[in-house]
Amino acid sequence: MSAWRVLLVVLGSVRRNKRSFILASIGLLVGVATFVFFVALGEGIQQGVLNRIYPVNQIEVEPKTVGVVGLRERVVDPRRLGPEMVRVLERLPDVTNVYPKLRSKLQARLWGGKSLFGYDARTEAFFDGLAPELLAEELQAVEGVADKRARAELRRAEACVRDEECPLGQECAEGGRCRPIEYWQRFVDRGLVVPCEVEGATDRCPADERCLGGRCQRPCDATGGCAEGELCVAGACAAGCRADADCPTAFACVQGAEGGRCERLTCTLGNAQLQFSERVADLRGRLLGRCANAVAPGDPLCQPLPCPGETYCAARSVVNPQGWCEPPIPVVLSPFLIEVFNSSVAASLGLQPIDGTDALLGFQFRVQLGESYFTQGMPEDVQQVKRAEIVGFSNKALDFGLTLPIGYVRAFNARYRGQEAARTYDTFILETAGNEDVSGLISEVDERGFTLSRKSEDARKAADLLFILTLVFTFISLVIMAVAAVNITNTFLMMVTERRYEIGIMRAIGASRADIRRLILAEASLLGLFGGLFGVLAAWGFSRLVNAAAARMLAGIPFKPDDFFAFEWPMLLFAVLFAWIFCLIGAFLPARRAARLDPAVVLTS
Amino acid sequence: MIRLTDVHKHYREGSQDNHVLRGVGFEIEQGEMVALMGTSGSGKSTLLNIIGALDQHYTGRVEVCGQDLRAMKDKALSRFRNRTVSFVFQHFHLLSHLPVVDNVLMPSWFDPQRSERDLSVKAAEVLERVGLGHKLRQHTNHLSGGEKQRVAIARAIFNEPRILLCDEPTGALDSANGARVMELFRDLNAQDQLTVLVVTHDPLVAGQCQRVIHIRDGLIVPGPDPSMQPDPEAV
Repeated sequence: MSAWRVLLVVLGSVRRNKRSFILASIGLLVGVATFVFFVALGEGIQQGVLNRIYPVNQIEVEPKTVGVVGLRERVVDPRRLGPEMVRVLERLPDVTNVYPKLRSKLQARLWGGKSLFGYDARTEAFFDGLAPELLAEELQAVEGVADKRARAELRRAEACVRDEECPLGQECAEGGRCRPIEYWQRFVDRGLVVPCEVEGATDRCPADERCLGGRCQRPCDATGGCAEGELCVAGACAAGCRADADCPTAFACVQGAEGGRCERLTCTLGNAQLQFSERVADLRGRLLGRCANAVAPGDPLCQPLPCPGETYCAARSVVNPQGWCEPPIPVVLSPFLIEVFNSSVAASLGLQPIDGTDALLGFQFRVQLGESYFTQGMPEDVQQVKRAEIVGFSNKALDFGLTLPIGYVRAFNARYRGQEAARTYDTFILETAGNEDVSGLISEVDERGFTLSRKSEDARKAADLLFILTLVFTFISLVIMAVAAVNITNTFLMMVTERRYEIGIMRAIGASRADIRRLILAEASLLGLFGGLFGVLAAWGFSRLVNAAAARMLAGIPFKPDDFFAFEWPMLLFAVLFAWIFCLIGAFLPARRAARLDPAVVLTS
Repeated sequence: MIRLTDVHKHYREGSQDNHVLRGVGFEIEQGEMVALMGTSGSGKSTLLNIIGALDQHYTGRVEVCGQDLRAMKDKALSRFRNRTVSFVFQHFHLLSHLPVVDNVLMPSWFDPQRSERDLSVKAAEVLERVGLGHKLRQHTNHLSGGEKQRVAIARAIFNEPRILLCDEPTGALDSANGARVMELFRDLNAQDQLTVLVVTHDPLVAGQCQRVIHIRDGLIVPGPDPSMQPDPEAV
């Protein structure tokens, strides 16, 4: 009997027995829908929520601590937690990457938000330093960079020379065209000047730098010490250049005996108190040794130039108005902060809740390093006021604090607490090739005196719980499908009894037992595919309802995923295959019985 | 063509052993039209099922077209029922949900060597031959008894079998339709050299065959059962 003929006969049979066909498939449909719904939910939460905190192949470890007379003491000698520990961890089996995390070791406070709230919010500032490459992907996803680019593609880019000429939210890119600002790209080390007092000393500078000319610089001598393309000028390395355009913002190309070199623009605010001014123009200061008009810098006719572009004049200290032009420090916040703000802070302070992250990207505030609301400040001549800019949101960021590119934290720690505080890390994020390597890795690092960080452990616990829940619901769906299979057996047994004459006639005119078996199993297959496909559709439909309900009920919570479900093709195929197999199992006995019907008995009874 | 040697058949009904065939033996040559006659329960339908390979639970030897039916497996037996023999039943056994033409085409479903192209044309021809060429698309439950039996005959001859096995083919028909059906059998026998074996208890039907084999209580007997008298009205 040809497959085509089998299909025609089966379709005819289904047409005649629509009701029993649909009834028999309902159990299967519910089973498949349950299976698909919960597996997709588990996978969706894993991908959309847990993986944002730590992907399954990343763990954050920190040194174990023990209680010593009421205080917690690290098991691992803190001095061993420097770059050498990164190398030790990199050598562990299965580890593909190690990202160290450095916490701030100095007091700082921040204020800002007048444009947003009507008055400045003030708080103590804590910050972490993280490798920018660890956050790049998540920052792009949260910022919706792909959408931004797609939208920009549809619009004609306007010609420009300066950022100010571009519409709001755009900047003047290379090639003289406006394009949307991608804040995530700013989360890099944008160049920070670390002032210092003792010429030639290294202890208050980041590793490999020395106090030269009142600020930390990479030293060099006639024998070398600079990277390729750099010049050694006055004992410090500087990038080579031909014109200003070759240098980054806030640098100028200065010609000397050795050739052109990029030199940081120096500036002054005129008055140290202007660091606390609210006016943007005050903060940009004026450049030292440069005039807007073609007169000598000392000339009374010299028209002052402010720090260029996005940069501002970062003074040496709160009592010294002179300093260097610097771009704001890029800062990443935790979405948890917005949740706290929206759920508690906004209500108690009578402020508007914040909708999403877009409003906050590019928002600037000021940080005063070395000063604290909680504890004694450091001497005023080392305190500094810096501008910071929010460039993204990440679940890996510090919950209550700021997360900076690690180079900044290294520089601040060195400046305020010495080089040792800059070179020893606090936690390490270990990345493996696959999820399966993580369990072994946890015991490996345990032997070396490390334990999972709270956040990482919570994420793993949540992932384990989710896995167990998915397993439980998969089991429930299996039970439903098994019951459905029993129901299918019953339905098909009844069907075989009802159609015994038809089967007998077929046998009398040439159908073999295999033909009859094939017909019954083909009908069961059709039932399985029907139940499976509609089960998948039902699960998908129900998931849309849940998403819509979640969007309405969790409206105040930012960063919730738009879709709590992840429907993956292999899982859907597996579900349909599963339904099909259960149907075949259910129809096996009836098919055997039908094939064994004695046509002589059937046709003469 | 058909050769039966010492065929026995037992039924078990509860604890009782029912010996339906008690050493039946006869031969039928190719092209013969033979009536197998006996009273109800004499074993004539059982014998027909055995010859048509529907029933394999017997002892003895049954040879049809040179093939020993007991030696054949299910697939070969199915093919035998599809290509060599065909049944016409008293109650037609048509599939009421299918139109006439599809009922006739049914044997081709199980014949993988048939090309699908010319099947409908052939079905129309066969139906034309039984006088139902105009009712191709009608559903069988809209047909009269005589028409249904003629559809069943069309289905039986569609695959061009060599033997036609008819179990009380006129039993559910009035005499006019019965006569028409018997005429069709005679025609098929004469023109196509089809071997026709008609099981009947009706002497009038048996009278239209070339030869009559009498069966009584599971045994072949030389003459008719004295209790079987022809219906005087029919005569």
